[in-house]
Amino acid sequence: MLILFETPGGFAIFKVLNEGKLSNVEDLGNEFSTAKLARKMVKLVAFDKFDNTAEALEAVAKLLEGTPSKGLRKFLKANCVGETLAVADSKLGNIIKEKLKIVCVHNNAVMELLRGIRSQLTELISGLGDQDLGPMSLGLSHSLARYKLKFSSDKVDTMIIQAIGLLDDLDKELNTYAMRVREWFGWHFPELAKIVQDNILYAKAVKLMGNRINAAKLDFSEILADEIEAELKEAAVISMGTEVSDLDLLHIRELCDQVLSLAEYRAQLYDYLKSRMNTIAPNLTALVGELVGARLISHGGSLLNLAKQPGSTVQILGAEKALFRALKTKHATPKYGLIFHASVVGQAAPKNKGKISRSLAAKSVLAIRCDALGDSQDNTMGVENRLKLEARLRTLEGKDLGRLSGSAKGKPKIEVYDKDKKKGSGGLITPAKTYNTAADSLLQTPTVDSENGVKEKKDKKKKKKADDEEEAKTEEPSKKKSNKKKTEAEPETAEEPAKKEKKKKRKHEEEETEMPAKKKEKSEKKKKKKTEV
Amino acid sequence: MTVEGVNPKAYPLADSQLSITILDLVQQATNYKQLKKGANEATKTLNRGISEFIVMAADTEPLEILLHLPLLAEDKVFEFLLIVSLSYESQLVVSLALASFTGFTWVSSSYDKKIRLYWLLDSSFEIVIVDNVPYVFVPSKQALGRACDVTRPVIACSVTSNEASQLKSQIQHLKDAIEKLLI
Repeated sequence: MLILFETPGGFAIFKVLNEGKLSNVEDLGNEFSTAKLARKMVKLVAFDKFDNTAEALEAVAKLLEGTPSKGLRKFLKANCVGETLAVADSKLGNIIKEKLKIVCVHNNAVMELLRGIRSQLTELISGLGDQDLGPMSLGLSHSLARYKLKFSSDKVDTMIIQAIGLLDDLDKELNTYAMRVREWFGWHFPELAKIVQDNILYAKAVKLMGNRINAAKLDFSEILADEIEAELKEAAVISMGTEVSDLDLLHIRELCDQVLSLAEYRAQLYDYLKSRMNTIAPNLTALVGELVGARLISHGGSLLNLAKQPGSTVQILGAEKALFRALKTKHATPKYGLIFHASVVGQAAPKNKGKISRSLAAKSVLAIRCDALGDSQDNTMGVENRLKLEARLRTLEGKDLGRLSGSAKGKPKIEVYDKDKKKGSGGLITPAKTYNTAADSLLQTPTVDSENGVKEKKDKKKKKKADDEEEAKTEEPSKKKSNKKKTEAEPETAEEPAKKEKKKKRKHEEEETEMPAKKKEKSEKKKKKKTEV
Repeated sequence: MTVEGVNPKAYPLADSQLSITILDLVQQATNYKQLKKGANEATKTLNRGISEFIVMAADTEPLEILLHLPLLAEDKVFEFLLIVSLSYESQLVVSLALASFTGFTWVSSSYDKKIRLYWLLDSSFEIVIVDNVPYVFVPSKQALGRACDVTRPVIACSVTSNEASQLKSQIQHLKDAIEKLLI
C-alpha cells in the first residue's frame, strides 16, 4: 500500500513496508518513536517538488476544495498505477478514484500513519531539513491566507491616496515656482508677463532667451506662435526693465528648469493616477473622473471605508466645515462637497446643481460599492449610470424651457386673464377696484339704514383680518407685517376714502406674499413624496 | 418562487417559510413606523446603532451594492475594557471576575451581548463586548418592496429598535431564527 503525504515543499509517496501492523491502530505511534523504527515502517518512493510558490499555492488551494491539481494527477499516474493509495481526505480520494482509476483508502489507520510520518518527516525525506521546512511552510501559509482573503496588490488604495496628495502638493508648488519666475524675470523684462500668459511657455521662453537683448536673434517658433514671437521681439527692444548680470540669469534659468521638470513629473504622476484609478475603481472613474474619484477615496480613508458610507455622506464629503457651521447657526446646509468638481455637476445650471449632485452622489455610492466589494474589473455599471445622469440633466433643463414657453402662450387668452384676475395677482386690478369702491362710498347718505350697512361692512372686514391672521400664523415674518398693519390701522378712520385705498393695497400685498408660500408648501410636499419613494 | 442561480454571496439566504415570516414582520414594522427602507437608510441605522436586523434582497443586480451592510452589521462594538495585570494567576482571577461581573450586569435576555477576551502581547488583555446585528437575504426584491408598502422594488431595509413596541417579542424570535441560519 502507498501513502500520499502533502508537505509545503511538495507531494511525497511512501510505501508501507509492514502492513500487518496496521491492524493495531493504537500501537502505531510506537512504530514511529525513532527514526530507525520509522524507516522500517515506511519508505519514500517518490517526491514531486514544487517549482515555485505559485505552483505550491495552486496545488494547496485545489486541495482545500478537494480536487487534485494537474501536477498531482501526473505525479499519481506515474507512481500509483495498480496500487492501493491511502489519502488524508476522503473527498480527494473519491475524485482520484473516479478520474484516475486508483483505489483509495481513508480510515483511522491511515490517519495514524500520517501522524507518524509527520513526526519523523525530516528523517524520512532526505532533502527536507527543519531549516528549509520552516520558511517554506511560512511562505505557503502567507500566500494561502492572501489567496483566501482575495487580497491583491493591484487593489491597494493607499497608493491612490498618496498619489492624489502628492498631485495636489505638486500643483501648489508648481504655481509658486511659476509665479516666482515671472516676478524675478519681470525686473528685467516686465512686458513679457502680459505677452506670454501660460506659465510653462513663459518658463521655456525665459530659459531660451536669457538676456532680453538676445531675443532679436533667437528663434521662438518651437515655443510660441508667430504673432506672439513678433510681439515679444518688438517689446524686447523698448523694454523698460533693469539690467541683470549673467549670474542672475544663471539662477533664473535654473529655476525655469525646476518649473519644467516639475510640470513634466506632474504629467507622469497624473498618468499613473489615471491608470491606478481605472484598475482599482473603474466604475467610479467612469462616473466622476479620476481626480474627483481619487479625492473621494482619499477623504474617505480607503475604498472600503467609502463603500460603507450612505449616499448623503458622499454628497457632502469635503464640506464638513460648512456643514457644521450650518448646523450650529441653523442655516441651509451645503449641497455638495468634493463632487462639485465632477463634470456632470459642472454642466448643470446653477439651480439644478443641487439635484444633479444628489443624484450623482447616489449613483457614485453604488459604483463605489461595486468597485470595493465586487471582483470584476469592468466599468459597465459606471458608464450606464453616467448615461442615466446625463439624460436626467437634459430632462431638468428641458422642463424650464417648457414652462417658459407654456406661460407665454397663455397670456393673450382672455380666459387665462380672467383667472389671473380671480387669483388677484398683478397690478392691473387695483385701480379698477379702488375706483369702484370710491364711487360706492360717495353715493352713501347718513341714514339709519345706511348706518346698519356700515356696521355690516366693518364686521366683514374684521372676519377677513381674522382669516388673514390665521393664515399668517404659519410664518413669522407675515405675523410681524400683520402686527404693523394693526398698529397703523388703529388711528385711521373708516370714513376717509384715501385711507381705505391704502388698506386695500396692503391686502393685495398680503395676497401676493401668500402665493409663494403656498408654492413652497407644494414643492415641499413633492420633495417629501420623492424621498418616500 | 424559485430563483435560478442565486448568487452564492447572498448568505444567509432564508427559505420560503422563513421568508414569509420575515416579510410579514417587515410589513408590520412598516405599520408601526419601525422600518427604514433602502440601502442608504439601512446604512445610517447601522451607524447610529438603532437597527434590530437587516433584510436584503438576493436577486439584486449587481449584488455588491448592498454587500457593505454585512460588513457594517458585524462591526458593532458595544463595550471595550483594557486590563493590565502583572502575573498569570492574577490575570486569570481578574478575567474570571470581570467575566462574571459583566455577565451579571449586562448579559440578560433583552441585551444578549457576547463577550470576547483578547490576550495582548504585553501581558495584558482586553474585553470586547460585541453585539452583531443579524442580517438575512430574502429571494425577491419585488416581494420586499411590496412588504414595505412601496410600489418599486426595495433591495434592503432595516427594522429599527423601539423598547415600547408591541413587535418586540416577534422581533426577538425572528432574530433568533436568523442566527440559527448561520450555524
